[in-house]
Order: sequence, then structure tokens, then C-alpha cells
Amino acid sequence: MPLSDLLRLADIALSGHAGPDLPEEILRAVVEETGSRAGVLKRGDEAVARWPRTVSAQVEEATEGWSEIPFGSDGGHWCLRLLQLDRLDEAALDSTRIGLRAWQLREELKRSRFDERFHLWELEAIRSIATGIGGILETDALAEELISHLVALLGVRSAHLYLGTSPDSAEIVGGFGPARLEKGDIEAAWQQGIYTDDLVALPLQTDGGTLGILVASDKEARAGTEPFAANDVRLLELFAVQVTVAMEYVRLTRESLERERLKRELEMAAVIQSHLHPEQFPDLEGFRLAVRSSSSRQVAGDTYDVLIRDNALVATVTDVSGKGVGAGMIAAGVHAGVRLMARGSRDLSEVAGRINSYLAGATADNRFATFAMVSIDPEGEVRAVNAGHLPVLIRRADGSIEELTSSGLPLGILDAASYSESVSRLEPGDLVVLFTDGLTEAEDADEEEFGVERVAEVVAALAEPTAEKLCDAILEAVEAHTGGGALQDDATLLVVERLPE
Amino acid sequence: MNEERIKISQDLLSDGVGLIAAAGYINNEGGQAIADAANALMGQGSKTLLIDLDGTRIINSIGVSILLEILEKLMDEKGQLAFCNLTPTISKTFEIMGLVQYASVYPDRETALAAIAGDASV
Repeated sequence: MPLSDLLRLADIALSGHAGPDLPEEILRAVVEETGSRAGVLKRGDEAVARWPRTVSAQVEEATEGWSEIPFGSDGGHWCLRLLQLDRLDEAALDSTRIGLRAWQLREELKRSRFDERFHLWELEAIRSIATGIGGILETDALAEELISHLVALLGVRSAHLYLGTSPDSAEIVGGFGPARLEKGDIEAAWQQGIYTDDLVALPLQTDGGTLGILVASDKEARAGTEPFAANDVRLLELFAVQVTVAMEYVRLTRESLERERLKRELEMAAVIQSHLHPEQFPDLEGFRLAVRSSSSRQVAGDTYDVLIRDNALVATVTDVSGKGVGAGMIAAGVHAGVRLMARGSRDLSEVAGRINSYLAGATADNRFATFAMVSIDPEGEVRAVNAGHLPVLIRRADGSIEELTSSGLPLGILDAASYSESVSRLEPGDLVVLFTDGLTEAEDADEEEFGVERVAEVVAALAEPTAEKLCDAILEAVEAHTGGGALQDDATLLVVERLPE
Repeated sequence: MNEERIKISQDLLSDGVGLIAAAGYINNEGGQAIADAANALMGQGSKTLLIDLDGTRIINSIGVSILLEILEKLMDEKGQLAFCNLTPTISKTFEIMGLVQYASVYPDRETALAAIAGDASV
């Protein structure tokens, strides 16, 4: 090949349109021009081109008579090897060097441009993950998005995301390629991570503990695979941080949604409970009622009811131990029991016994309810049953107070508990007062409770009392006692007034 | 997400356009399979290649560098390269890695072939 052809190749190399086959073209030209039998172009130990192509590494190794011509800025790094070189004048050598050096520079330029763009790609992927997976609440979808970015950027053959609460419970929630982490290695990956040439497994750590493991394996090279480099591990760590943040976001969002759902359910329970109370009191000539009820939570453990049975007025107040939904459910059970059983039995002690028996079998050991029930017929005969409840007060027209005290254990404690009725009489102008311990246990600044005695004092002291006035007077006195502070417990106050004739 | 092995089909269309459909992970193996298909089509005289990536969701850096080499080779031959059916992520990757600077991108195969036919007739 004439020298002009070598110069043409150098020109092509410099012009920037050289394809990947250019080294071979140059090598072929050099081999022919120099009358050599074969040539190999090397970068370090790697053969970039061989001519003829049949000159394999083995052939190269097994033959003698190679001449070496180093070129490039780093001396021996690049090298042209020619077999049984016949002739090589300085001009041909120079043009060969120029061509190869131009090609080499172009390759380096291409590689550095590729590396620069690859870093942009890394940044874009991290940005995309940070902005994209923040809005994904399904773990599977999140894992898929993350893994696809990870596989692309790291150039790995497999990657998997494990999630769990412990190494034993860790399971793959998303992945690509065959899972390479052995079952026996999960513990080590979970505790301190695994860093080997062909597999890196990182624990996803938060302040609250480890959430899972991110695993990548078999980093690809142009041919086959290569060991993970420090940069790959750094990138994988960045992914691990991103996925940890995303998983925390998912957890917090789910918790927030759950709280919202519970709040709605509580609101619904409160509405249902409020409908259990009579919207308006049944009419019994000669009697008037008033009620005040407040709850410390959305769902109360207090309940009250008023109904007419056999022309008699039946009023009940129930206070379930504890507060909140559990207490409210038991209160609703007692309410239903009173409604159903009071209509079927005239004997209040029997009603209390049946409800007790039902509750004893249906509630947890530490749950019980106190309960007071009075029935008043049109002539003023009062029958009362009191299951572990505060005394029921009767205020006489002359201001004196009579107490109907407890006649048995609270409901739900002992299946075999029995109750007895007490009997009294309500004259015109008399009032019956039923209340729960939310009122009597209201404390002042010195933690002194309001107490039954103060209730009785207020009831006794009120001049010309009516049901409404008595309710207001008691609540005002409690408020004065607490200094206006909110009641700490559910509180109910129910007053029946026999109108003066 | 176990699209490990790439599925490749190649076809020389009547107007000389070489069509390569590649579905799967474009890594060193997948990229080489596309390069082999491209070389075969170029060997049959095709100077315009359309690579349809319907079914491909992940391409790694080695895959990108092989596609860049196919692009270089086509440009040496004064040919052109086009892609269609790219996922938004791959589309963004091609943009960042400089592939779309010299290659065309179309939403689907039909649009791509119509556009290529339009270019040829001008």
C-alpha cells in the first residue's frame, strides 16, 4: 500500500468520521506496506485489532520474530507489533503513528464524552427516583421502578429488593434476573451488608431499624462481567437511601390514612351512639325530665335511656369501666339489654340479673358496668335497682334528700350476682336524680373530688327546683369546683321531676 | 420483571428499510444481538435502520454504547437510524446519552415507517 493511503487513513482518523473498524484498516495497511506477515495492535494487554484476523493470541504467543513499535502519549501503553517486519522507513512509521494516535485520541474523547453523559444519566435517574417514587404507595410498583433504574445504571444482570421486619421474614418484593443472594447470607446482608466482586447487598437502615436489603449482582463488562468498583457501591448506596426514604414515606402515609380511617369510624360510632339516646322523652302526665351528658372522648362509656312500660316511666343510667370505643360497645350492649328486657319483665332486679348474666359471659375480664334503673308509675310509686352505681337521690319538696344505694355488684363481674329492688314514693314536687361518676370525680386544683355529698348539697339547697334548673345548678357547681376545667371522664345527669299538683 | 433474554427479529422491507424488533434487556448480550442484526441488514444493502423497542424497558450503559456504535457505522455509510416505541425512561436516557442527536425517535412503528418513506421521497 502506498504511503499516500496511510496518510489518507490518518486523515480519516483526524476528521472524526472513523468507525470502529479503523484500527484494523490501519493495521492492514501497515502490515502490507511494511511487507510483514502479520500485525497486532495492542492497548496494554488487550488486542484492539489483529491482521490477518486468524492471528489469535495463541498464534501470537507461539510465534517468534515480532517487532514492537510503541506509540501514544503514554509510551508503552499503546503498541504496534509486526511479525517478520521486512521494511519500515521513517515516513511510513510516522504516518502510522499519526493515524493511530489520532484514532486513539478520538476514542478517548468519545469515552470521556460517554462518561460525562453517563454521569448526567445517573443524576437524572436519581432525580427521577426521588420525585417519582415519592408518590408511589404500592410497594411492588415502587420496587419495580427502583430496580429498573438500578439495573440500567449499574449494568447488572440481577437486582432484588427484600423487605421485612427481620432477616427471617425478609422477602423479595421486586427484582430482575435470577436471585443470587443465598438464604443463608440474608442474615449477614441484613446486619452489615455484603461486599464481594460479583455481589453487593446493602441493608436499608432507618432510625427505627432495618427495613430490608437491596442486592445487585454480576456487573456487566463489554464481554462477560467485571468486579464491582467503588463507584458502583456508592451508586448502590445512593439507591438504598432513596428506597429507604420512599419506604418510610409509604409507611407514614399508610399510618396517616389509617388514623384518618379510624377517626371517621369513631365519628360514625359517636353518631350511632348519639342515636341510642332518646331524641325526646316519652310523655307521662305529671312528670318532666331533663338530661345532660358529655363524653371525654368521641365514643362514651356512659349511656342513659328513658322508656314507658306498663304506663310507668323507666329511666336508666349506665357507666362502663374505661373509656372510648370498647366502653361504648358495652354501653350499647347494656342499652339494648335494658330496652329488650325491661319490656318483658316488671321486676327490675330480674332485668338487672339478666343483663348481668349476659355481660359476664360477653365481656373481657376487666370490663364491667355500673347501672341504676328506676321505674315510677303515675301514682308516684318508685322502684329502683342499683348495680354498683352511685346512689340515686330523691329530693323531697321540703329539701330533704333520700338515697337509694347500691343493691348489688356492678354488671358483668359475676355471673351469679343477684340484685334486689328498693321501693319508695315520689310525691308531687319531688325529684329523682341519677348521675355518673364523671360528675362526682371531677377534681379541683388540689385534686379533691366533687363527691356525692356536694351533689346532694346542691340538690337540697336549690329553691323551687325543676328538672332543668337542677341539672344546671349541679353542672354550675361542678364547673365552679374544677375552676372551669374540662371533665376527665364521661358524665351523665338525668333528673325526673314529679310536677307539683 | 424478568425480561432477561432479549427477543430479536429482523426484516428487510421492500423499500430497503431494515427493521429490527428488540424486546428485552438491552445489555451486552442484547446489544450485541441488535448489532449482529444491524450488520446483517447493512450487509444486505440497507442504509436506513428502524429499531422497534416495543417490549424493552431496560437498557444499560453497555447496551447504549453498542447502539452508539451502530449509529456511528450507519453515519459512516451516510445512512440513518431511527427508533420507535421507547418508554419514557429509555427516551430520556437516549436524549441524555446523545443518541437522539443523530437518530430519529418516533412514537410507533407505523409513524416511523411513514416518516422514513416521506424522507426518502423528498
